[in-house]
Amino acid sequence: MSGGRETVLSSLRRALGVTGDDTVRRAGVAARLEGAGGPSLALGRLSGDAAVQAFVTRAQGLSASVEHVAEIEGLGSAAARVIRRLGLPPRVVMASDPLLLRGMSGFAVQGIATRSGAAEAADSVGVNVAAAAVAETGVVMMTSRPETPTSLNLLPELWICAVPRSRIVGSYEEALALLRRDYGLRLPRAVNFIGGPSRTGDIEEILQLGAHGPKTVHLVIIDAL
Amino acid sequence: MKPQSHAFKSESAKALEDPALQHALSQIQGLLVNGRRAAVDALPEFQALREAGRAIKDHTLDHLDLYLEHFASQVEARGGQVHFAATAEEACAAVLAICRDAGAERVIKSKSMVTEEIGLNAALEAASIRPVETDLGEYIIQLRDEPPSHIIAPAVHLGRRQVEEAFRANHTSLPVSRKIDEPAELLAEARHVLRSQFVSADVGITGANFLVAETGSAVVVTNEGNADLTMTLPRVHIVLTGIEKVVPTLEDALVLLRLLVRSATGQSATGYTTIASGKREARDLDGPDAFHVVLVDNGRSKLLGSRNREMLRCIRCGACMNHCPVYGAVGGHAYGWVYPGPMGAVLTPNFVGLHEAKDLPNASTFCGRCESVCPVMIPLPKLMRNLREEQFDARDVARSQRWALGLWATVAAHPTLYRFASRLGARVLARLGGRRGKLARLPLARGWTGHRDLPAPTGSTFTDLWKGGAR
Repeated sequence: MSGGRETVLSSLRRALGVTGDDTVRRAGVAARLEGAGGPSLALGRLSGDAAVQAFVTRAQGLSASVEHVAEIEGLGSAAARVIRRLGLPPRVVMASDPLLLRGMSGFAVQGIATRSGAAEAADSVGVNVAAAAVAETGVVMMTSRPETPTSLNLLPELWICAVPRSRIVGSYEEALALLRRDYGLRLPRAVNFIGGPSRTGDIEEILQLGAHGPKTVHLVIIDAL
Repeated sequence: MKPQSHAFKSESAKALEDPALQHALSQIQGLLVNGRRAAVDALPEFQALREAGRAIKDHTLDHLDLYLEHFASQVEARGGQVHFAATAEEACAAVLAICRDAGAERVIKSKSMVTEEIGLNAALEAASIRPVETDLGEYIIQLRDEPPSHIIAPAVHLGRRQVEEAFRANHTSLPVSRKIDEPAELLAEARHVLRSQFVSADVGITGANFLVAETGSAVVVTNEGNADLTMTLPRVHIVLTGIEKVVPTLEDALVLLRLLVRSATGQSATGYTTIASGKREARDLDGPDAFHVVLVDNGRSKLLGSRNREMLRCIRCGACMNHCPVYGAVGGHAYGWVYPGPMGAVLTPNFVGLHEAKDLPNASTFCGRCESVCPVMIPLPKLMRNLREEQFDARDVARSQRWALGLWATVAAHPTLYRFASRLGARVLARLGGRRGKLARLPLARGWTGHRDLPAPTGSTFTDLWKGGAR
């Protein structure tokens, strides 16, 4: 399709009245690719306890439920309570992130069967760990790594997400800075910012939860991490 | 999609007589207008964001060729493929070729107005591939075989009864006796039916709200999470979007994202905001094996070279239609093509021709609400006025209208004549208005007096009153 590329680019250059080999324009673009963005928002100028508090309130505003546990070992009992409340089978598919593996014993104690890997259509509970959480809006940032597959966040009807307290940041810009630090410009295949359960208003503008993805989102903040 | 914009007047008249549509329109405008208002009021930086958003778009459009080159090289650097399509036909052909090479039979889609614009579904069906829409609203209208009536809420013109009818007519393997007259039951059924589509599809097609040049990524926003499933489960992910969607950096995309969600639905964040950057990495457990981006021109470069270039700043939030008294009265279908409301009044003539869409730039009171809420400050009334001028210059307006405008121009350009004519007019109308001071009927102005009285002038012109010392 290189013919298509040349056609489109030359139409654009004609429309702009420029040529493709203008070094001044190219230098301008190269410089611009290093920065820009917009004004910072008061909503996101938060850190420490204030960021955690705002994140919790705003995540709840997006219909997620949130609880704190002291250590990662507490994740199993937190999961067990939600699973029992919703009457789901005590089986979870979970990320193989080392952080979660440390908490595996907690699931065994609760009698919950665990499997590591990607989610399948039949899985009803998925457990993953957030790469960051954004206080500005109450969303979590998920990355598609081999240890944290994306399908865990999307397919099961109950999604439990561990949020290390230290990864709660104020603004989206801070979350992007973490991505840049860890991956440079080669981002993971998918970076998902997720706010609460899947939702739709497409029937008579009535807000309904649980469209295609999770019907319930439970965030567990791990205070020690 | 075959444009039906020439029928705007007759379709508008039908829409005004459709009580179900009128009810739906009154609901959505209230919800979305109030939602946006609250979201904007809660953000003191909104105006600063608008100015930043406009600057980002203007800068990118001025260097669009270079940013697209950079974007393409970043996609290719990690094994994705980029296809530039000059026309709708080329874009459909590119998608068909990808599907054929992948041996694909089943295609799922998340909502994309550009795919509506290029008629992708019809092209796929002609090649015996049945695409399935996964956005709930888009799925409903696909079952009903009709176009979207709103770019954000495609099925906004429908009620639950019509959704139930569409489901019963199409989901014939489900028991007839089932109860699906509540929205929750309808949603559960759609979730069930579409889940099997998600897990069995070969190709997933999404649009993009933004393309990020620095990383070669597509940013896609949904509330349902359907775009995420569409790009995660099938073997092939195709992003299809317009060339104007590119921005330089991730931080630039954030500015526009914050404007988009508040302007569209009044949310501070949608359920899912995804940065998709390619096919699965070597050790990944899920994600597609192939990643394609189809970049569609289809008239955008022409718009870039025209005096309506500012329209290319549009981020497709729909605020202009939500706030438009004309859209609010006639709904989206009357506009006869993909983009309704003020944005459509400017875009449709560019894409399908000014003659086909000649009523659209005139379907405006120029009240200016669209411009005042546009997150990237597009001067929509000015652009519609530009199109009206083009129509006049191309002699594509009715002779009576040309004649009247010509007469007006002559009178307005000669102050003495103007004062004489307005004095005469004011006196005659005052006489006709009588003691009521109102006119119930007026020749040549039945469009007005058919629905309300015209207040009559008191007898003197403004200029005379001013001269006489009235201040």
